[in-house]
Amino acid sequence: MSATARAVVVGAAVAGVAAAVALRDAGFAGEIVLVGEEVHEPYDRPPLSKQLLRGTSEPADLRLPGAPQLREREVELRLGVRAVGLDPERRELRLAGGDALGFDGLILATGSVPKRLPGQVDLPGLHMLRTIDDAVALRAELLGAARVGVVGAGFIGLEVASEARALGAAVTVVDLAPHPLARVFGPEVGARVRRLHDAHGVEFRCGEPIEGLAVRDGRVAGIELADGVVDADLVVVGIGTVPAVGWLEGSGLRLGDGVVCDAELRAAPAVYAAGDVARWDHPLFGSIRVEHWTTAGEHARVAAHNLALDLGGAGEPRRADAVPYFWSDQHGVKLQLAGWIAGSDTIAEFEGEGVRSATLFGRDGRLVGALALDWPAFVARRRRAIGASAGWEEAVEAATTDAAKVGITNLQT
Amino acid sequence: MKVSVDLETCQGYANCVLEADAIFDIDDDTGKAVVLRETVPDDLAESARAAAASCPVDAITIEE
Repeated sequence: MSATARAVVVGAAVAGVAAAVALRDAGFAGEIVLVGEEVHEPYDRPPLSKQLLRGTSEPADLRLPGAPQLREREVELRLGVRAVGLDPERRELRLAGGDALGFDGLILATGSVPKRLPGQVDLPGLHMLRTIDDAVALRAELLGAARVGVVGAGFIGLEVASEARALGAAVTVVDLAPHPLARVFGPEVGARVRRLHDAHGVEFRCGEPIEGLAVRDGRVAGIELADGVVDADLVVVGIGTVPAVGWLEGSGLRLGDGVVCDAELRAAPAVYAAGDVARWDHPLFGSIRVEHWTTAGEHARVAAHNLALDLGGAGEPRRADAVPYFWSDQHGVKLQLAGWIAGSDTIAEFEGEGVRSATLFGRDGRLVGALALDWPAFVARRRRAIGASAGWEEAVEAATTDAAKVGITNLQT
Repeated sequence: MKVSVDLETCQGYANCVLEADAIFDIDDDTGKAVVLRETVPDDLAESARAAAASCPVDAITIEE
């Protein structure tokens, strides 16, 4: 392997940092440059909407796996540098300010950015949550807020609602959809999540379109609905994200809700994508894009391994075939999901004491997903069966037996 | 190689089970990790390291 070759990784969050470290661990001996847009040392994002808002973690605590190893793996870290263009033929990255950076191999890990409301402008008291700066600013205002408005009953909105309640604020969540988490789950799971939030005093205005934001004296003052205003001292918008691929338009790479890749995460010769930006052919689930922390790390290892091969390493290419896995913390309860449940046609529900519950998702007679509230063991044990495309009947039977041991009932039996 | 889990730190994220279910499980009642094999055989060493690296709260300690 050439020691003079240069690999560049764009994006210095969970996927990019893990990819840089994994490139070295895969035996790549050349130069590794990790380019990150933010000026901060690489940090971990999941706690931003959880422990950091609550105040049980400080910014310095947001340890990112792999970050402590960057130095000893001799990764050159270029922070505060934004990539603005790519020429995969000439193997050159264009950086803000006009510099160019040539490469022999490239891993794209630029993540995703929050969606904005139509016509949304920056206003005092109006928050989005993606970066550490966003989280620190939101935390500072949450401490003095009596009423918090949340636009969007997705994971970010619900986590913010949960932490704002814990800090003592009255919280109202507004969403056009009829129940929480409607972009991911059907009404059964939505109702269960709603009950958890109801029990902790979160108010919902579901199924109501947002007319706009109320503004008073140049500061956000609430959320306007058809029949009135939800007053709020601050408003958080959490309506989903889009992959950060705008800078790749015109590069010749295929874009389509992400960077389109094959099963080995290859977007072009010696160019790979990892994490939120990658739309790839999952061997079990087809063309998908996954915005999960765990998937980002798995992608990073696969992309780095395959790029190291392109740059002269030995071995066989790997496919990104791990089963997606995700967690969320709401009101002290863990919600965990394994699999890919879009298009599922069957569910089986399990209920235990309190909020402890689980759901299996099936499609075409196969197990494709497992969700649990307050029951981590359930999801962990199902992931392997999902990866093996277990038959629906046998998967439900195994789960029912497992559940009965701890007093949890399959509602269908 | 030996592995251990700090149960005060463990939050039941279960990433360790996903990486190495021959070494880790999650207790149904406590929702926290259980170490199935404290002494890790060589053929599972890589998955044990992956499990430690994947823990969001850094609750796993490995002694090589």
